[in-house]
Amino acid sequence: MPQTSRLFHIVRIAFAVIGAAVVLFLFLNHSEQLDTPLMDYFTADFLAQTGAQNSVAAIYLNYRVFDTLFEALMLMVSVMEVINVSWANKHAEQYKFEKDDFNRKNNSEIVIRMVGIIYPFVLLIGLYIIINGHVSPGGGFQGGAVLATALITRYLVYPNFDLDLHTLEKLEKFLFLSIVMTPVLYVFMQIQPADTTLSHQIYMVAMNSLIGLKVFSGLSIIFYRFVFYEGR
Amino acid sequence: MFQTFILLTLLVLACFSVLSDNLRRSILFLGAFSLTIALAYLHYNAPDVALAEAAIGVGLSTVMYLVALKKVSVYDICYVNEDVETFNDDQINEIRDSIVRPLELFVERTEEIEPQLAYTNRTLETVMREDEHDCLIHRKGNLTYIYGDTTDQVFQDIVANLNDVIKDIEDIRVIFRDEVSIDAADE
Repeated sequence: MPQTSRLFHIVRIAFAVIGAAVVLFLFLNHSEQLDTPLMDYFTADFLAQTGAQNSVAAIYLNYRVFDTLFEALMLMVSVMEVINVSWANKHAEQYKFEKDDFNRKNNSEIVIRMVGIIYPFVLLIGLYIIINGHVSPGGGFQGGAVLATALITRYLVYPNFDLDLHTLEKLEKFLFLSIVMTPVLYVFMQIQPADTTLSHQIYMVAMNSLIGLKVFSGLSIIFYRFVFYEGR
Repeated sequence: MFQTFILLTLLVLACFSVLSDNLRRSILFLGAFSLTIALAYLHYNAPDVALAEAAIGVGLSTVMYLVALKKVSVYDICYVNEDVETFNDDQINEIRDSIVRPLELFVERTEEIEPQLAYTNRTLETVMREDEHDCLIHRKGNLTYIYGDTTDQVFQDIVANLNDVIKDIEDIRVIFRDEVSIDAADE
């Protein structure tokens, strides 16, 4: 094993120690007191300005919607990377369709029955979190994750690959385009039917539904790719 | 009081999930950790984050880890050398380049199974009786024995390709555990 030289080692350690000292010094000597102008701006009048009763939804769907666009982009890029990596597997073709995999004997009877009972309620709560995202805690991402969890528990009960992943991938990209277009038209270019709370609320619900569907399809693609195109 | 309780529970669960011997148990502790930290977020007035943590941490990642654990198969190799008093990593070095590394590479590349190596200086009889390893490498003096089962397809492949896998050592002997009893193998 090649050994790095001792001097280099010492220099590296000294560099780390000096860096930590500088950071600690700056952190401990920082005595400037800032007001909270941003917080005041975001929380003062958000209901009238954005139509959301939940200030978090007001921030991520109206005040700082630019961040949301890039979060959606980040999820889409990671989904694309998962697809890319799982295709790079040389045995991808071999595991394309595992039709014989269906075997109820391996699955616990208790899990199957309980998931069957819980399944509709999980779907309901996911949809509730999405649609009510601008009123109560939650929103598109959380609701989409709950919906994806419901689809993934389906794998525990019925481990078959009868899902059309290509449609889901196309749907995800189309949804990303919609997610970019809607705030660009509505918030940035101010093409609004009327500047009322009702109109803003319709925009909020539409955006939350789009984000929820996109997160749902993205996480499902990641999971099913991982399960059926990877491993042995 | 409640805060202290939650934070201490978090610490305990994190330590359990790192230190536990069983990977499946670790995953369950990690799920419990996620649930507790969701409770902590809720306590600190962040219900949005708590909801995301509950959905991602408890639901998605736990199921994903469990499926991954089911998919990974490990081939368990044990190196037995009774002559060594105290075993450490230096002892493995003397056979590493000749036996262990080629064997691991073969198992990993050709058989596509994750190899895992353990070593011990207990006697061969106790190891065979008490532990269940897929393959045993036993060093006795200058002789090297490899123990395995006839029903084990991976071990059959290793034996069939032994000339290609291990090139440096000529006097290596293969013993099938289920055909030969332990006493006969000793002679």
